[in-house]
Order: sequence, then structure tokens, then C-alpha cells
Amino acid sequence: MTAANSYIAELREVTMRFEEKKVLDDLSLKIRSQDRLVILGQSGSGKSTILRLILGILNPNAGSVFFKQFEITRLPRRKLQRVRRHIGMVYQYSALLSSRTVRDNVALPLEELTDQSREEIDQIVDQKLELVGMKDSKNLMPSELSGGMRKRVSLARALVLDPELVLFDEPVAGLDPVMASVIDELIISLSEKSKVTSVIVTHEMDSAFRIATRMAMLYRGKIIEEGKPEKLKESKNPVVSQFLSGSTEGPILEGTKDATTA
Amino acid sequence: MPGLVAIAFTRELGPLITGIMLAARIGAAFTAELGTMQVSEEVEAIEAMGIGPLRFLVAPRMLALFFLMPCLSTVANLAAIFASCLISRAYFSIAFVYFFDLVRDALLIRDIITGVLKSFLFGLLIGGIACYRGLSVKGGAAGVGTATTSSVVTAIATVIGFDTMYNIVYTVFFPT
Repeated sequence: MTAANSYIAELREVTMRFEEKKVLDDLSLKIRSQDRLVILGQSGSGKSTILRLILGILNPNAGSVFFKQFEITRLPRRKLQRVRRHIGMVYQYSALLSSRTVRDNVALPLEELTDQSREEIDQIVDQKLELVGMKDSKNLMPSELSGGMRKRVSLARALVLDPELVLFDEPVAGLDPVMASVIDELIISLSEKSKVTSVIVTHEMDSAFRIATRMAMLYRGKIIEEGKPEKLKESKNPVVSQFLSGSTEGPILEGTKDATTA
Repeated sequence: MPGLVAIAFTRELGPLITGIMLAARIGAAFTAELGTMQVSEEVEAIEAMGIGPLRFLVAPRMLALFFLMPCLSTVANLAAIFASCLISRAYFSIAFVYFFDLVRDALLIRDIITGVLKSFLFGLLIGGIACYRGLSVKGGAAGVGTATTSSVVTAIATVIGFDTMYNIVYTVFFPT
């Protein structure tokens, strides 16, 4: 019951329901190590749910989720918490603790989960903040930062324990094009320099194609297309080509079309 | 009157009034704070880092209330006794020294202990209810509002209810 070594995480025949609504339907997805996998899909299609399943914050109704050799869905709580230290997550709205400064936010995992001294922690925090270009804002509160700055601090916090897998929930949503490129390049340089695997959930096409080494398209609870970015670009699947072109004509709006044209 | 005030406050009113006040003030603050953190995904982020929210968010708050309650109810007791002393002096011309003699005669160690013990338990109850309501908030800002109201109401009702039960048990097992 272990995932093959070249895969860092795997979802196996996962079904996830929220009340009556089936969000993921018998979905299987393998994440290869050192990939930058972009998961595409409409808003509300369950992309973020996949990230939360990998972290073990949500439990699937059926199927299993693996991170390396661990079956996340069956791990006891303590073990799960230990496994989570190898996974970093960057939230859509950053989720920084609003009562702590930037420095304290980034230092939090180190303070709580390691025995390092204050000097060592400061050094690591400085290094991570430097990496995301936020060293000068160390003593600011999250409320004093702009959206892009918060995202970068959130990224620094996710990286502070040197995770093997980083999950990004809409990393560039709501950012200006320049800041979006900065974040994109950060994600790329991370995986190239530190050999981190990343899973990115987004519906910003430009950013998706810039980052991705692999892509997966989620539609109606299933992965309907998966492969290298070029493969998706050339896909014959009408849903994929409609999504990539952003056209209103096609199967995606079927059934909801009356509502949009009325 | 000195005896009545001393006994009523150390045994009953001190912890009860302090409990109600803390439930309204600090209970509401805890629920609102944790609720907002829950809504803005901060709690989830803490969990995702591998830090237990129970240890990191709930335990310190419960502990704080656990130790704060007895301290504050002691302050409440002292304030009540001093206030009634002043009033007795002003309206009934009872001398301070005589008043405190009467208070000392009326006070029993067991009354003080039962009051303090009760305060510790109230602290845990209020903290537990406030944190639970805060962490189970759903539905944005409106959810935080609802949870805060419900936390205060539940905590006050529970404190009064628990106080009654405590007194029944106490009088059954330790009759005077």
C-alpha cells in the first residue's frame, strides 16, 4: 500500500461529497517528485479540496490519499501532524496570523515545532524573507501589507521548515501582472534550486503555462486531461480547449447558459 | 450584615458574579477572536503547519481563565466586603474594627475553599465554551457574531446551572 518512489503524493479513487454535492468523483492523481503540477478547473470545481485532502485537513468519503509512503487518510493524528511538517501550504488569502508580526508569523513553525535557539530561528527567518524579498518588512503587521506582500510572507512561512512539497492555492489571484510574475518566478526558482515539488491550483492561464511542468484539468469531479502543458494546449477535448481559450461557446456552460444569457 | 456579606460572597456571589462578567467579557473576546481566525483560514493554516490548534490556541486560553477566575473572584469578595463596610459605617455607624471582627467570626475556611474551587471550575467552563464556539464558527462575519452571542449566553447559563448543581452536591456531601 505504498506509492511508488518517484511519486511524492497520490490520490487514489477519491470521492468527496459536501452534503449532497459530489465535488470529487472517483478521482485519481499522481504527483511526481520535483514536478510543478498545475491543477486547472473552474471556480468551485474542487481544486482547493484536492490540496486540503493532501494535507489531511479534509477526509475523503471514499478512496485514499498518500504522501510518500504514508497513507494520509489513515494516519493517527500525531503522526499526521508530523507528516504535515514536510508539506507547506500557501493560502489564497495568505492566512497569516493577524496578531503577529511578519517575523513572528514566519518564525511560528520553528518556534513551535523545533528546539532551535532564537538566534538560529532569526537566521532562518531572515534567509526565507530574503528569498521572497520581504526582509525589510520584518516588523510590520500583516494588516500593513498589500496582498502581494502577504502572499510572499505566506510563502516564506510555508518554506520555513524546508518542506518537500509546497501547495499553492491561487497564488496569483488578485495580484497585478508584475507581482504575479514575481510570484511565478519564485515558484519556478524554488523547484529548480531547492528541488521542491509544487502543486499549484489556479485559473490564471498565463501564470499556469509559465509555471507548469505538468498540468491536470479538473472537470465535474474528475481529471479529464493530464500531461505536459503542450499536450493540454493541443488537446482535442472540447472542455479543455474551451477552458484554455476562455470561450463562452462549448460544453462548460451547458445547462447554465440560460442563466448567463438571460 | 457583615456575616451575611462575608458568607454570601465567599461562597456564592463572588464566584458567580465574576463568572458571569468573565463569560460576557473574556468569553466573548475569545469566541470572536478564534471565530475570526477560523473564518480567515488562520486556524486551518496552523493545523496545516502541523501545530495542534488545541495546544496552540485553546490550551493557553483555558489555562489563563482557569487561573484568572479565582484571582478575580477573590478581588470581588474583598471589594464587596470593603464596600459593605463603608456603607455600614456611613448609614449604620458601625465601626470598621467591629465590622471586621464580625466578618472574621463569620468566615469559615470551608466557605472560602469552596468558593475558590468553584471559581477554578467556572474558569474552565467559560474557557471551554468560548473556545469551542469560536473554533466551530461557520459562515463569515455573520457567523462570528452569532457564535459570540451564543457563546456568552451559553456560558452564563452554564455557569449558573453548574453553580446550582455544585451547591446541591456540596450540601449533600458536606452538610453543615
